[in-house]
Amino acid sequence: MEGEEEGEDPRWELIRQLVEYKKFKDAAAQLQVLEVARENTFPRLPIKPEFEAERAAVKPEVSIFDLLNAVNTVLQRFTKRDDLRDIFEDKWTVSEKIEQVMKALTERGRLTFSELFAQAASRSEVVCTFLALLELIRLKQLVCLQAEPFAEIEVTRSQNAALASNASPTGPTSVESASMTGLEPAADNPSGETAASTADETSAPASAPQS
Amino acid sequence: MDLKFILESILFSAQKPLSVKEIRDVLGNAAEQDDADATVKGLKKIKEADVTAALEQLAQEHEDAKRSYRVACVAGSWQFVTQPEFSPWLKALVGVKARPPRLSQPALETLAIIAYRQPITRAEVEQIRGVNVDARCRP
Repeated sequence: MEGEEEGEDPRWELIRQLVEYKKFKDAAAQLQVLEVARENTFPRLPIKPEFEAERAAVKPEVSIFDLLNAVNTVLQRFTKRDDLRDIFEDKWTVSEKIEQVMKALTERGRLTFSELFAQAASRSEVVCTFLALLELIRLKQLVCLQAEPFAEIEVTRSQNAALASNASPTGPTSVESASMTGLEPAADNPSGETAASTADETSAPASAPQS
Repeated sequence: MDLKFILESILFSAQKPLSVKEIRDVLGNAAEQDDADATVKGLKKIKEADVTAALEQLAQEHEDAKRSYRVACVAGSWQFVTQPEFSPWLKALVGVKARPPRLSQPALETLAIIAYRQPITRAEVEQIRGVNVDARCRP
């Protein structure tokens, strides 16, 4: 009749504690199972569905080959005419053309590829303009976009350049000043120097007569 | 059209897990943009409980279909997930290496006690586990 005596057997307290601990130990094991399961579960995160309206806004950038094809078409205009003249004055340089293109873009915002060459009177002028275009693309001053396959290529100021010109006037103007000083490297202006020196390089083949 | 399949299509295309409230907002917005369609319009003021019920039914159907993926509710948000048993291939797909579980046994026990007994003091946790839990309680 020990159980009816006053005061509980102290061992019961210990057993209760052990039982409780066992419950949490089991719970912990379940949590571990859940942890492993969750870690091996991968959610599906699809890309945003595209609808027709959004797709029209996408403007893929034009590759160098698209540009070369386009300029070849322009150059075909001059295949015959050049033979008629023995001598022509080679008055354009790449830096002048860079300046001209940037000026036209500042005024008009965007140009089509054919507009760039509409005024060109000679094969060498087309080549100069084209080299200026490539140079400006390389300097990330402008981008060529094509709204859809076979559409006219459009030339616009690149977003970065536009932002830079808003934030600090040193960005694109350094290119402009470099081109304005012609082939003399702009002093105390590292970016201007690069622009001028590269313009120097690219103008060399351009000034050679095109056969 | 069955509500559960409408919800399924939303979750299938969603870029993040969606709570029942967010799903309800989608249904509401859809009704505002297109109130000509009777089904779309009818779901404008649907109760959250009805959405939850439809989601649970959808989840059960996926469970019964025993496919490689499920609709799952994690921390109150619903999403499509793959079943754990396919993880070897999915890890290889994304280039993740298998690694041991992140939580140690003592950490899991402490976590279990806090999870089931919260709010709870550190002293009470120690009383149950019988050992000092200082190290487990640090972030």
